[in-house]
Amino acid sequence: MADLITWGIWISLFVFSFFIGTYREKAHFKNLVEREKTLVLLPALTMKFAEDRAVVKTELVMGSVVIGGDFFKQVVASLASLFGMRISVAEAMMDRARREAVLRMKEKAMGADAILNVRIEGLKIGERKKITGIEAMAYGTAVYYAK
Amino acid sequence: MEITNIETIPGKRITTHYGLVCGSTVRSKNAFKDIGASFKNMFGGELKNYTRLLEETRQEAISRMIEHATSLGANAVVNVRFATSDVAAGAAEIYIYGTAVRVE
Repeated sequence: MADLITWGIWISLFVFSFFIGTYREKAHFKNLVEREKTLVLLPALTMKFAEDRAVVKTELVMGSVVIGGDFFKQVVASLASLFGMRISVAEAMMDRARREAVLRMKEKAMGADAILNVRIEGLKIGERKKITGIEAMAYGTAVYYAK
Repeated sequence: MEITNIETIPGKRITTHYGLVCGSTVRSKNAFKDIGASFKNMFGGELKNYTRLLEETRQEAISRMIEHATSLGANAVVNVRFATSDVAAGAAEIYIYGTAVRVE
């Protein structure tokens, strides 16, 4: 009986986290696409010099976000890692985190003309094997050109 | 204090180099807040507590670097890099370093 309850909790958690996690991920991706459209005129460049124009102001800008994985993803990832398969659920998670970080960086540089030398870094949150979440951090130098 | 992560400050001329300056902070997570995070971790999504914690930690490291640069007489820091390392279980170090310079 106790076993049945444990399994019941485990399975319902698995199913619930799949639906809630997928719903949230889809909503986040939709939100990302919309925000990316509005910020398309502020390019984030990975090079150090872009245009030969007079610069009036520079500023270090950064944006970061911590995204946690859900229970469903953890199970799928641990199963896939048994067979050395591609873990697409983790790919989606990394993608979300990086894009969100870049967007937050851009939002902090509102009014600038470009962001130069953008670098993206990642940090694992959690103890050793148990990964609670991943952090993505984007930073760069925002430049304001003379008008 | 002007900070960039490229070798110069565009539009300005570097007159003096003061060498490497750095700032670091080691922070551990809050075990009580972590309970909330582990609940949220069941269903995915952003862990806002962690985002805020890391942002604060980074700001602290930056302000320490700025303090260091100011004490040398610099008015800008160029080529800033960020580094992180796991010090102990549940704790992380944020390390920020760059070159202190005087610009005109």
